[in-house]
Amino acid sequence: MDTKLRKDIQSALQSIAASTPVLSSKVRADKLYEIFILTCIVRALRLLNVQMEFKDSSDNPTRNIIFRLGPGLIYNPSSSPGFVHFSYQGREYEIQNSIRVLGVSNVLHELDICIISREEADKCRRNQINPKQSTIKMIAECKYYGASLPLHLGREYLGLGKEFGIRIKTLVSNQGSEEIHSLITKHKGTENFNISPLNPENIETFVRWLANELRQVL
Amino acid sequence: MNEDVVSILKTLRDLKLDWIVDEIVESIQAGKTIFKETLEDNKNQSKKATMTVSFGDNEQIALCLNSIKSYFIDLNDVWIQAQKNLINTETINTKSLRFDSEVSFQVAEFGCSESVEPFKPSYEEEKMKLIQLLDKAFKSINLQGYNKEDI
Repeated sequence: MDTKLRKDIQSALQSIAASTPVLSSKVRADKLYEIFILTCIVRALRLLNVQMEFKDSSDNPTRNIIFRLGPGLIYNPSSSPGFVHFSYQGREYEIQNSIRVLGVSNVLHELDICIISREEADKCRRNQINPKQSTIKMIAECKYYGASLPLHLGREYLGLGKEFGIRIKTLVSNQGSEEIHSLITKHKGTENFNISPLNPENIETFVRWLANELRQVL
Repeated sequence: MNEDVVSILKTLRDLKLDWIVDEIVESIQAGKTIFKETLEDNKNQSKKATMTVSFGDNEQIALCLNSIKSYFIDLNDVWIQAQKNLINTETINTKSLRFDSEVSFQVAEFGCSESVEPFKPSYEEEKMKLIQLLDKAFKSINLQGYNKEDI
């Protein structure tokens, strides 16, 4: 690469870094992507004519939802994020972000995005207990990466899948990986790769896929 | 590792963006998987197999620049799209209108009500400069952006 061009890029990086607090940690960058995927689920639910309401971590209606940087406990307002409360076919649910849920082994796992039954979520907030996997209707593991996806993400996703025996569980990423695709599809997992504004048609396909799947399980 | 990549990674480390550096280094060290045909012993049939090879110089530069693009440029588009998704009215029903038109979201640390500002107002100007430079750099290595098919 031309030396001057490289130095110009380095200089531009020094300038732009001060304007991007989001990049001070990977957790922050990942959080923006999780929120983006959560809003894709909101769009999918709209296709099903679902009524939704934003709630704060104490279950009060809000118009300013706060997401937390790190896994939270659903019953602890200082660590749990706001969520989306919705009803479909007479049943109520919540879309939650980064909460800890018990898998079949009774071990807690952080779920990037999940849909949980409202009844269970209410019970957990009231009794200060962790939600159980049997009340989870959907899981999306969200991975934002720079250029390529490391294989361990596929292995972790498979491990999580063993703990949550549900139909809609998917690994979503802005990047793609043939290896991870082969790994998880071999074990009946689902991926939605290359989901980002760089590929608007992929977002539309993803939203429609979510709507179809949610129609089946909610 | 390619010298240009080493130099750019040093800048990122100086900016305390070690997590981005580590991710790029890990990707480069992992190499790429390619398919090759092998002849079976004592048979005339060929069989498909895979092998892992190192990235070439331009591929390393492309990988590095694309990581920079993903985090410094594309992530902002993700954030903007997330907000657009909430105000997208194509299938809106009347009852959810209030929700869609007025809701906003923030990111905050545990136990803290103060939100983290993802991008400062000065970001837009800096973003345009970086886009132009990355564009030039991709052209200089004959890549219109990082093409996954090449790696």
